[in-house]
Amino acid sequence: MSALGANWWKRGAGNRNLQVGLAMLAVLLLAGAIGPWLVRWDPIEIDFAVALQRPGAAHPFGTDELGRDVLARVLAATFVDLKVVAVCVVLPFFIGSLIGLASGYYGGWFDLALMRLVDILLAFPHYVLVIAIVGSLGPGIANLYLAFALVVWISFARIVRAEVLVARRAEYAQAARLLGYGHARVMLRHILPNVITPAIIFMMSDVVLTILAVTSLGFLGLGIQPPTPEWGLMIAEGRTFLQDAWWISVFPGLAIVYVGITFTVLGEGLDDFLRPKG
Amino acid sequence: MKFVWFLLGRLLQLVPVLIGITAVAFLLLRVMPGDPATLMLGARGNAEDIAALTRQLGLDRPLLQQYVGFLGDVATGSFGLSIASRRAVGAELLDRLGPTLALVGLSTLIAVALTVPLALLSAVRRGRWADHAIKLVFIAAMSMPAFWLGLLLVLLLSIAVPVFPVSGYGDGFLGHLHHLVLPSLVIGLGTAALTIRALRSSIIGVLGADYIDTARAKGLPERSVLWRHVLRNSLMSSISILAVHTSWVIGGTVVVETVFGIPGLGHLLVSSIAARDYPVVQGLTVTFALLVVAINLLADVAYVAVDPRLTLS
Amino acid sequence: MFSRATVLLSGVLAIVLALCGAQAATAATLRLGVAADALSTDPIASSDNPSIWTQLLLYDQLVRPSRDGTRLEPGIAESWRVSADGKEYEFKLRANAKFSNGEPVTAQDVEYSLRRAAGEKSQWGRFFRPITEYRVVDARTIVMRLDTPFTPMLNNLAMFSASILPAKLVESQGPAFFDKPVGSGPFVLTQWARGQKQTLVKNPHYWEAGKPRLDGLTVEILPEDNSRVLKLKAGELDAIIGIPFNQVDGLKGDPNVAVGVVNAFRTDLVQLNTTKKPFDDVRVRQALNYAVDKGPIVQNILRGNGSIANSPLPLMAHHNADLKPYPYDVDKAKALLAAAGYPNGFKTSMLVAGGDATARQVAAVLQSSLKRVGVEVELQNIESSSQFGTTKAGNFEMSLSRASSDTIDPDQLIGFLVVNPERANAYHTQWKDDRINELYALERRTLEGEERGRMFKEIEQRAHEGAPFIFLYRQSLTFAHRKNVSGFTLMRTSNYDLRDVDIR
Repeated sequence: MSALGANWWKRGAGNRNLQVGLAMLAVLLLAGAIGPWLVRWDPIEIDFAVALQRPGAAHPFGTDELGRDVLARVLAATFVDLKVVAVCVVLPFFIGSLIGLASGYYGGWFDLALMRLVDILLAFPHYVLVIAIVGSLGPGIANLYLAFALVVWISFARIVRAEVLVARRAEYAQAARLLGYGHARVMLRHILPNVITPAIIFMMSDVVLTILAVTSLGFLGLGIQPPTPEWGLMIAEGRTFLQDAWWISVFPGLAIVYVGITFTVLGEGLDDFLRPKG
Repeated sequence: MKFVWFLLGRLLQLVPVLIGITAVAFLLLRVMPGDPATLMLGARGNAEDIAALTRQLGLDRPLLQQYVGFLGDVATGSFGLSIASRRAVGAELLDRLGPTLALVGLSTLIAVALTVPLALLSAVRRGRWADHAIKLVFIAAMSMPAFWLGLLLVLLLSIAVPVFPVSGYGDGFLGHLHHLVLPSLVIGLGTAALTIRALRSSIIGVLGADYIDTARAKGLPERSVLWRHVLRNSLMSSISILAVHTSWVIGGTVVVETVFGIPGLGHLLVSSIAARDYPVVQGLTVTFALLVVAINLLADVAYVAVDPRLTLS
Repeated sequence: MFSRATVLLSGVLAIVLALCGAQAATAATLRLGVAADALSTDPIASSDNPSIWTQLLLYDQLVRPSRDGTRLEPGIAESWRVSADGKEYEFKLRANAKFSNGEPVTAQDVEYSLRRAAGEKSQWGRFFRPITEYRVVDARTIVMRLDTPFTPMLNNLAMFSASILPAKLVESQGPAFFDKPVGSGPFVLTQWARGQKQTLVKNPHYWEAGKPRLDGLTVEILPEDNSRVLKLKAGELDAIIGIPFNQVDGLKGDPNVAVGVVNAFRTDLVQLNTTKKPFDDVRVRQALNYAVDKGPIVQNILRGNGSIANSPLPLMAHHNADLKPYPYDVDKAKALLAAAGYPNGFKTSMLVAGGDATARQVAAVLQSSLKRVGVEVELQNIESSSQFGTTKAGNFEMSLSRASSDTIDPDQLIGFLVVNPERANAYHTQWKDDRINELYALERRTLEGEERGRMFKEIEQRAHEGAPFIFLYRQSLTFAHRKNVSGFTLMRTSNYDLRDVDIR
């Protein structure tokens, strides 16, 4: 608890963004976990008799072209998308942070080479690289993870490296070295906890960027495969029916917006919480 | 003169980046399963035809040889031949460049038109109702997937109320403009969401700066202070902020062009990936990177040209 | 007697009337909306439909399919003679056949074009290599010799890849020729904004008198289904092809629009890899056919625009009308699976071309149907352009796909779908039936007639029983045009023939 700094409870209590963010996240996770149980329709079962029904009492979000309940599908897709996003954020976070840590700490040619690589990769729009990699390797979750890991680590590496460059001159780091601790130990146990905060905060906005990217890939057919409900895929499937059945595409989109707002607000709250200003 | 040296210096710095870009683009597409020649022949090829096509496209040579060939091609400005249409990739890219540039241009205009006044308003009315409202609206805007927002706009402004076309690029300057409004709005809104925050912070910083106090102390009316000093500085910041987000804008064209059927580079990327048209995908990745680099360079130049004091030593 | 004013007025009136008349005589330009752009105007380098359809507007072939798709009629050749032993073909070209630059179409052009089509660089070489010798008798007569009789030969000469090109121009211009192609077909390509629009004008030297009635044509590329429909409704387009099935009824209700439906030479099916268990057992394959209820698919997804398939062939010449499709019978399916040793079903996977909305829906229905007999199918999304390569390499268990014919003779498609060994080995299923192979070799040497027809019917019967595919349906092609457009229709080979189109 000491890592969170003094008065963490008090800071949390006064932090409205954090509270709202956490509440929204709780609602999201609950919806994903027990939502599918509460809604009695099966998200995959086909029933032509009730195809393309408007939102109403029986089907609050309407039904799609195969008669599947849209609300059930939106809820079922929650954990599908969140799981993928989680891996696509956390994996680059680990890889990038470790690389940034080593690079900032050791400096030298390793750092120089890394910064060159980062400069080069920065020239490519992230999304173009991701879609090119996934498009080449083929659709499939593993390829998605690989693509994001290969591309997004840069952002984390840059953030952590910048912090490390400052931190390694700090007194506690010098002291640790003087005490004879090895490099690895100094890096991991002394410096890392102090530099990881901006990376954690960036993770929140990265979640927003990632959910948009993952659902875009789903929209283009390069992401998660049908018939597993996935928000981007659902929006794509509803496109043909936009004129007569707008609800198929609109509701999954609202779910994505909700996730985005949740993590944006949470990110701001976390920022104030972990890095109180003045 | 100093300016010319600055420019040359920047260009020289770019060389390793450019080479790196080609290497990345080349390697990217060699991690492929599946054989392009088979795919191109569609439903009617047999073993000999495929072998012939493979030889024709040079896909059977060792990897390093292929890369050297690729570098040579790029240096002479060619990217090889498109597998699908047998035309020079460069020609395909050039055909599609116009619409993408137009889209990026109009999106940037919309982003600027939204960013500057709203960021100003937010900064000046900091902490008040207007600031919060703007923040909320753009948090929501930032969370909207471009393809979904596009479909929503089409639903509202093309189908329900037929103001704008559903898709396509139209004819003639006005036609193009008419067709680009909705897609540019999508990208512009998303970009503005990111840039308004940044500009707002920058303006707040400027508002608290010494020379503003000096201006006020001199007795200059508030409005003049605002317009002359704050605005000029915020425009400078706008340039660099927008440049930073160029990557985002250009990446955004991929999905938006696909949704709106705009025959630009982004659309080409999606369709050539689907067709496994390697030379085109390669050419496109390099082109996108070049666009980002070019726009960043332009921004740097603009920045320095506007305020020579900022020439980096 | 007539005042000067009267004369003047009559004169003016006459001129005005003449102008009006001239306006009416000036037929308009047809604005056609399509889903995808052509890739190339080179007949030997294309296999995608949009390119094929464009080429069929620009070039002529020696013969061509009739409107109803049942026989071949003269194209650029006004008559032909086949020798009794089937080894010699003689064609007489039309006297008035000219390329769009005014040059006459000669026998030398025919030889050049067909040699090119049979050549190394051609994707279609196989179809024309049976011709071993060409003899130009005079400018309008050409003789071709084959080593062995090959009945589908005439049929192959009606294909787009047998288009007649101006030899001298192609020789001198090389690949640049195809940027501004010159053909003897009804239209000339004047402008091509790739990915956006093709602009064509009428060929002033076209040999068919009075045709085409149109002055010109613009083909707008609009990949988005909705936008093609909306533009047609708004009057911004005169005709469109490829209407999503769920919008057909809506369009029919529009007073300014006419909707058309054509039974094209196309079949939709599921390929079953017979080299992988349990698809090596015919009982399993038949069980799958019994397990899928095809009626609701045609009814709900195709909205009635199609029919259930009894075999892998589309409805073409010599089709077996007596062959009944597999009925929907879950009990029979389960019994067959049990007999084959799978009483509790099994797990498998299916490739689906994800970009195709109809395919996605059908796949979902198939998955659901097969689950009822214990067969759990995992759907694998694949890009449609890589599906063919993947099944060819044998990397699949089931694959939802389709096949269509560019010719009206079943020979081309049969060789592709059910013959092993052949170029596709029974469309990648590796299924082998010796009797079918025997019949295939036989029908190619048998002259057109009852006998040959019986062979095809038997082939179809055996394919039905061997069930290397799950036979699904034969979908109709949809198109629509504004009511003031007459004569617009689709051919059964899927392309659009615009010679008779007129706009009032």
